Amino acid sequence: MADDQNLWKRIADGDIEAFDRFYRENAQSLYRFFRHMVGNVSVAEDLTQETFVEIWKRPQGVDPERGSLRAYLFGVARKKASEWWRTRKPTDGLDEAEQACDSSETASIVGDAFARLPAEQRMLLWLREVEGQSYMELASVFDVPVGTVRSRLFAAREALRRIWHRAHDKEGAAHEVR
Amino acid sequence: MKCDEVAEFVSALCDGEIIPQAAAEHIGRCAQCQALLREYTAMGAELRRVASLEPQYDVKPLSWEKQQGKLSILWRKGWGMMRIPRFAFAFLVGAVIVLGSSLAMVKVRARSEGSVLLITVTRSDGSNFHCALDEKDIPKASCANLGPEKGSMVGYQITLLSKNGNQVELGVRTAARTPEASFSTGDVAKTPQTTYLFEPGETLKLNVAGVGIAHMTGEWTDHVPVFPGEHHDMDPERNELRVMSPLLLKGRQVVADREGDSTSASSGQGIYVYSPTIGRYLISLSPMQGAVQAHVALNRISFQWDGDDYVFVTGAPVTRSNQQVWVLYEKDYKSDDVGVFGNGDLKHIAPEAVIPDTSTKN
Repeated sequence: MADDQNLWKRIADGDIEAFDRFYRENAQSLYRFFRHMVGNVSVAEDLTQETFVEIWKRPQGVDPERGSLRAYLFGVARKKASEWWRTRKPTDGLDEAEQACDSSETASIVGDAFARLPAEQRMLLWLREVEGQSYMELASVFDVPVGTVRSRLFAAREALRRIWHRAHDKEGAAHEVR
Repeated sequence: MKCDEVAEFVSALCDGEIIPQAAAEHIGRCAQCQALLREYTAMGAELRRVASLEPQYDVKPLSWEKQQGKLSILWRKGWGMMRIPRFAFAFLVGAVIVLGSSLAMVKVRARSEGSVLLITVTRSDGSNFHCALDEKDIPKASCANLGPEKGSMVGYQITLLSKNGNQVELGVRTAARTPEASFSTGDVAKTPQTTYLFEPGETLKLNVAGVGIAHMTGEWTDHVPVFPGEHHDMDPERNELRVMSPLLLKGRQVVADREGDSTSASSGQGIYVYSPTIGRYLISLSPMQGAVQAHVALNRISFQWDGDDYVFVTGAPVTRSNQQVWVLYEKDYKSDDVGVFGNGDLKHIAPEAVIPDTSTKN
């Protein structure tokens, strides 16, 4: 946390080198997060850059006492992804999203089930399972108490498990028909 | 504990969290909860595997130095040089000249339009008065003003004789008297008239014999202002009787019309309207022998004389509301003047009507 505060102080003072390092260290995971939240490569790239630019333009928005820099970064990203979903037309990017989910490299029943989860549950589960964010960090990202994080994670896992089981049962039935 | 109650802790256990002892004991001996834990763990592992299949994102180098606020960008751009074609520059200069001259033409046109000549006379002592002359009233477009100037009472009468384009022909009369003497517009009318060709925008010098040089300016307007006279305040001064452009009505009959004439008086003074055919009406803030008290309402002075109802209608409020006004009608009054409107001390213009002041006796 002390390193975090030191880094953020440099960024807030306009230290380009410090921010560029922060960008390079986190751009990959942020892009991956957007990629699975919006399902569109170019949109994910745009949102990744927009998120960093927004933080660089308004460094005073962060309060290092309330959470880590990464938590703040993903908090901004979460809002951006939600905003994108709100303004998106029903058919925008759908083909590409589906294509991404069905590509042979990423084909997975769990992956498909994950894509069917509500956006908020997807974000929560992704940040916990893939990004390894702690309950404290997730509480900061979603602006909720830690206890709520625990119950929401459980709800998300249960939702994913149910979808996964249904898909698994259908696949089994299809094999039997053959 | 039951499996339903423990399920949330199974999820927490999956996240590496410490869970309550009772929940931990239940999970340890419950095959169903252990299966759930394995499923949760497998789902997490599968998600991380899917994420690991994601192709590497090409982190594009960004130039953070250029990320400035819009305001600072505009400010910097504003100070930057710009190249434009010569034709465009010439066009801009031409447009400025055309627009500028159009505005000037509009200004000139506004001043040259209208049928009312608003004249301002600045007396030799710096005080001034205004009068409005409507060309539609030629040759009767006339105004008069009586007022103190450098220790004398000076009267001006200005008549609009003709108009040719923007130029007008004015007849000007001036006269001066000592302050104690009776003084009327009739006195001014008796003086020789000097004719001037005057164009609004220029300044005309008027030589008032024995007093000094007054200056006259003018402009055209399309209406007669509310206060063409020297008074610009709606309320008269305290202890002031103000009569502007009076019209005297007897019942429904017009007895006298002094449009354009204006003057004022204080206590002990009087304002009069006279003609040989009607006699003299004397108005004052002081009581007079044989006078009747009038009722004043804004710009009207109403009174009764020998059973007849009279009303002076003037162009502005006459007095303050708490002032009393008296009117004396002298039907048989004779003067050498043909028609006059003026003011003066009651001691001089109507000595027989003055009521002696007894307040200082004893």
